[in-house]
Amino acid sequence: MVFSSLIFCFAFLPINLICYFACKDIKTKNIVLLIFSLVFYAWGEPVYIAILVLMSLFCWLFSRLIDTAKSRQEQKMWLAAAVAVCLGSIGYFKYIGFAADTFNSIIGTDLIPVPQVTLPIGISFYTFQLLTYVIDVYRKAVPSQKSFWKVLLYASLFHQCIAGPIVRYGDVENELTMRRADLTDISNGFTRFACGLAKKAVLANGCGAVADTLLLTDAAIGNAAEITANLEILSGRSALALWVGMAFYMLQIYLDFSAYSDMAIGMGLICGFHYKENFDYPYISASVTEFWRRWHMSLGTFFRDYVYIPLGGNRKGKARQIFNLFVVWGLTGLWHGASWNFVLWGLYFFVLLVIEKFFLGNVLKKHKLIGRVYLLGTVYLGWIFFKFTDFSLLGTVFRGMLGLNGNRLFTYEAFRFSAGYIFFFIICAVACTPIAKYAKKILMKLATKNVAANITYRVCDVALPVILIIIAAVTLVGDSYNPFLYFQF
Amino acid sequence: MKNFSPVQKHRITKILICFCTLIVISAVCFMIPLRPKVSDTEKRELAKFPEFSFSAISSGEYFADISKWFSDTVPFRDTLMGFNSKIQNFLGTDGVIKGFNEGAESDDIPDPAAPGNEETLPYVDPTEMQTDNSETPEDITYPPDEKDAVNVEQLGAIVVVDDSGFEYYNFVQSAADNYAKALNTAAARFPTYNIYATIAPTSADITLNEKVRKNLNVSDQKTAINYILGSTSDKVKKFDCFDNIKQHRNEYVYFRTDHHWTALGAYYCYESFCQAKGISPLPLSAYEVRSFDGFLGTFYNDSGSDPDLGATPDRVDTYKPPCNYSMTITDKSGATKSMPLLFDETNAPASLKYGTFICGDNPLSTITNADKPDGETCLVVKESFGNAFVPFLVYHYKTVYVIDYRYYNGSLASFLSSHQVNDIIFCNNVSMTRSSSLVTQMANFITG
Repeated sequence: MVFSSLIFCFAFLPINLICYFACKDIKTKNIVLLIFSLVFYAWGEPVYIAILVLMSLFCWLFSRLIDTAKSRQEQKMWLAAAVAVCLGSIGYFKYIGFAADTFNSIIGTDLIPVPQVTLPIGISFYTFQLLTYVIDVYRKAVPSQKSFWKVLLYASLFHQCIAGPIVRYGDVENELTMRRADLTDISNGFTRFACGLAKKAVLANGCGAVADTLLLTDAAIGNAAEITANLEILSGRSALALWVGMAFYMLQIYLDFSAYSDMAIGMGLICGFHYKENFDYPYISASVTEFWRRWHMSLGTFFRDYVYIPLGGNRKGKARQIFNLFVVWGLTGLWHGASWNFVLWGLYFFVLLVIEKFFLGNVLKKHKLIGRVYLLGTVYLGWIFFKFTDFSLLGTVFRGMLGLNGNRLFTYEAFRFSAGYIFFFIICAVACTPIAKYAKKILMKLATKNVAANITYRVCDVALPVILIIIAAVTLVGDSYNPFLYFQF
Repeated sequence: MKNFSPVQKHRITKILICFCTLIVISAVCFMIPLRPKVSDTEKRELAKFPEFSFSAISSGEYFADISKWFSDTVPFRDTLMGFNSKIQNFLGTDGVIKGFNEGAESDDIPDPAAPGNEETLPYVDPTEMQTDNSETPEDITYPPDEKDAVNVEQLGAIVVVDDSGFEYYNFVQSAADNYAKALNTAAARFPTYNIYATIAPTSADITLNEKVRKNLNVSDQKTAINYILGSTSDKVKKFDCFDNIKQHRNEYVYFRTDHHWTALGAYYCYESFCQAKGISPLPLSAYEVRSFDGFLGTFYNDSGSDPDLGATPDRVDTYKPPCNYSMTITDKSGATKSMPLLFDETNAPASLKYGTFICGDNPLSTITNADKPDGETCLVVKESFGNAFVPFLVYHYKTVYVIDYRYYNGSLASFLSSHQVNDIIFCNNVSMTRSSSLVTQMANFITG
């Protein structure tokens, strides 16, 4: 099930909320959440739900063993076992085909048969969540959880199980046992959820439709059998169509991804969970360094705390630091999908980050405007690597954007098509900035002094989520265009 | 709510309203009997609730299909979809985009008399090449656009301008040369016959707004038609209908939702034919007109049921010849039957109404005019554009044979050996002359 579907919003979620609030004590509330979470996951993966349950079971078991182990040595052993289980399963389900493929192409034969493994949805998210749990238990940052069911609830909670944010066990440990959603939380939760839903259903899907039309759908890009036809389509596109298509893709990926986090955070608030923010208006950053502090923050901090710092971070000399960054960004790339283009995408940011760390950083700090233009440009370029998992398509797009495919730079058709979406583009671009947030702040400030502003604020506060939910519902009728981008993750 | 502060009261109200919104929409969704089974606007059957099976469950299909059913058959879906387009239009997006087409590669259209062409075009004595293009484009002026194009939409294969669809035409030299070659072959093989040839333009170069037209990545049809017809030998009597149709461009000469010309468009082509043959055409007033409303043709379907096209269906006018005629057809299964020349399409599906003309595309149709027992006989070799053209010929001939070379199994030679024919008329549209497979089919019919 995906959040942006009618069945989720108008069957699953309301029933879930009714059951949840019908329960008085936290224990039954947790049972309700767990049952709903398992149904939610099984809806998309009726077989692979076993993996989610088994991995949670192993991680819970190893965390208990770490807790009861007598020596640090023994604890280390159990930690290694847990990490092996987590990385082993993600390695098998996500990367085995990729590894076999790469090995074959390096030695130039088909020595190893490439296994066809379907990727269980959300495996990259819940595996990482379970890893934070076991590692933090080992580090004694959190006590081990006595109840397996709570570990399972933590890993499978439908709010964040399949598209993030990657919630640290430490962040919700207390709330698994004891949580209270006060009126402010529930009220903010509804607004947050409604904003996320409309952002996904109206803005992100709209951008996606434009990007897919001008470029190719992700399904088409991933279809190796159609490569000739796809190359022909892309190489015939005018440069203008490709540039505009990528711009809409850039908007889509932020709006879509952050919308999922908004919905997760909103639903969490309604139930009394306080998940950390995952996106902080990344496109207004003035450097790549800043961008990665604002983009998919739960992933960035995961790699910082569980890879970069354990490798020595910046404490072991410049050369080692660069190596550590290289590892982190290679892995960050690979996390986004089992394909070399994602590694390239990660390493592209590694290069930029190193450049910023040693040369460019101070310049960008002084000249914010240059920094912002530079950031948008570099991130835009990065999304091209990200979008095209096939290198021949990637090359064709790069050449096409410069008019080197023998394609035209500008066509009347591309112009008319793009011009038709200018207004929508502006709306989406505004949605990527904190303008709405500031507007709300100003209105709130005025509301404390002025009766009219007060009434306006109250009316907006109630009407906004209702209108957004209705608009999103109408948009989702027919399910005409509603991609889920995170099957790769 | 007595003990709550005003802020708390506001929040409780808000939470209750939000929650009720969810519940009300859910309640509507769960009114199962209200769920529609078909969509009238999309003209399709909606998703069904899946049948239970263990394999469907384990593959995940079962639940995916339930989700699909849930969103596809929402009560009042067509109304809600209508609201959705309004929302999308307001935001300046389309929701579902039906495609994007920047036009295909076109070959440059060479001068028909250019030296070297004779090598590629056998059966033509260079001395016979038609070299004088008496009509240069500059000599002709066409009526201006009557109204401005407001909304130009890019769709998959076609472009939609306001309420009309238009097809892209891109010149393909090899196919065009082969088409001319095929006509030359016919002229060389059957020298005792009068061979007439025309190429019908499509609406993009006739009725499409000039300002939009000049920007599109399409080839100039007039130049292309001049090239192809100009590359045929003098033995081929060509009649170029382009200018005559374009003079009437502000009349209803092309359908808006379909790629064909209307019978009126075909009538102007018939006028050009009569001029070439040296006979006088019947005036339009001589025909009995019958109209069929509600035609939504190929453009409508190719655009994924574009609402702008769907809102204004076409009208199919037919012109009944003032003579005593009858038609027999040999259909694709080989059966021969008597059929009306102009089929009654009143109750036909919206997409099929062009089929009124000679009952659609059949391998062979024979139309006999009892009023001209001593008249001449002609054979029309055509694709579907010819259908609307044929009824105008009926008055002038004793018999009109019509062969659709796409479906006819025999050859031209064998047909002529068993039928008495005076005139052979090739009537195809310009889009056909860029399709190498169709050109090959026609060439095979001629050379076989």
